[in-house]
Amino acid sequence: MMVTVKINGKEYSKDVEPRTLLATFIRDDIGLTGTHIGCDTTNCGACTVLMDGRAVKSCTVLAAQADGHELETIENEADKELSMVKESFIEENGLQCGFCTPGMIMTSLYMLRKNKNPSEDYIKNSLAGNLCRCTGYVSIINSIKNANEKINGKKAVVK
Amino acid sequence: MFPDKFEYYAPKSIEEAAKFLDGHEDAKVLAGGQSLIPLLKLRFTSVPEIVDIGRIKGLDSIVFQGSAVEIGPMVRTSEIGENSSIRKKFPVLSEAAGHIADPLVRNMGTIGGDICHGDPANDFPAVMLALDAEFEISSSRGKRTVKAEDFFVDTFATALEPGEILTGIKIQDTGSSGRYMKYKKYAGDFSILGIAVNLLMDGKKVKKAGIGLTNCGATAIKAKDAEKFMNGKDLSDENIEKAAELIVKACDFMDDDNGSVKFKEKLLKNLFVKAVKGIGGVPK
Ligand code: FES
Ligand code: FES
Repeated sequence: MMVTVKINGKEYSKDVEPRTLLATFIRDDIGLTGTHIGCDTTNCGACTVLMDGRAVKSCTVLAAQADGHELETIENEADKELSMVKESFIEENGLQCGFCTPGMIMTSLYMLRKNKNPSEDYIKNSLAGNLCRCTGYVSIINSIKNANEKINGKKAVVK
Repeated sequence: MFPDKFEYYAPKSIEEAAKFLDGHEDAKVLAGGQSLIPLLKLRFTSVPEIVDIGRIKGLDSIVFQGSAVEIGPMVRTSEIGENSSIRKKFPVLSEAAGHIADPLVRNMGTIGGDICHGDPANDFPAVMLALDAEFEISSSRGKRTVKAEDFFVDTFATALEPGEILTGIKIQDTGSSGRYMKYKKYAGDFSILGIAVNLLMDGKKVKKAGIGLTNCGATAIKAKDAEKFMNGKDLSDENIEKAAELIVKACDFMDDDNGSVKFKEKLLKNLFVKAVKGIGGVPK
């Protein structure tokens, strides 16, 4: 079946099997390999992309379900806010091996767009679907606080 | 991991979907896919055809009409949790939404899918039972209404007959209020167990109690004896304790990885007390 999606502002059409998952569609059919597949069982969030602005686990979405929708991935160079989140993760050592990072960053972007005045609890709850096996969450949360300062201009993240 | 092969069909209307289901007995309806897709990927199940109802217009709206709300089956769990009118009128529903899986799964998963999957560990069924929701069910034979208490039959079994689709959820706003309490091992996990308590008060007395239980048996359970007992009574510690006893009696617990029967009974009682005392408070 034909699946047409807009990814990072560019339109792609591919003829794929109906059972194709969005994560493999993005990686193998389109060739954008920044989106990672970690667990492949809806647990880790390494595969997080934004679909119509909402963060979802692309290993648990059919490419067919995304047909006609707009996606944003870690490769979205044009998005200034995404670049700010990336910088923040570098500055605060929000990654070690980097495997979970594309998902962490897309989820961070989603939560900071949605809430311009996030509390620490909000950040933690919003990260519930993303696992990191090496960095530890403290630096990741610090990275998100840093990104919040850059994007939303808010210094204090209250407890 | 890939699911086994299937045909994919995305109808534009309920009629089209119903017609397709009539000719394809083993076809499975796909809503958000947050339960179905993992099962297909792990090959716990496979289906010849998938009917994606995500492209049918009008199935994803929340409409307040008179004293009732009608919720479309394709409304995402996150939207239920974030809707401010639902939060005000049916706090037990928004609180449950916030406990389901994780934020990313909630952005795809739907209320209709959560209900129709028939998993005893899913959270919305108990809330539907506590709120005495009614389900509109459509097929090529027309529409029928099923009460939540008649809907949950057994594990992964509901009152949906072949060819039928859940097309609407109706809940009456009676001015009641409630809480949903859930105990899980880690963020994003299923309930060890959960309880939805919804009370309509008349001064200090309970006018109408609604109690639904998650993962306390083969399917979601309505604690009818406890509801009946609470009606007309005040919320004294003694009455709460008595109701808690009746709730535990309605359960069909088993010893398993999540804990012993004894542990679960104690946990459920504690969650019930917390829920009753917390009604009117701000859910997290
Ligand atoms: S790869 Fe999708 S959640 Fe882990
Ligand atoms: S940086 Fe290695 S898993 Fe998160």
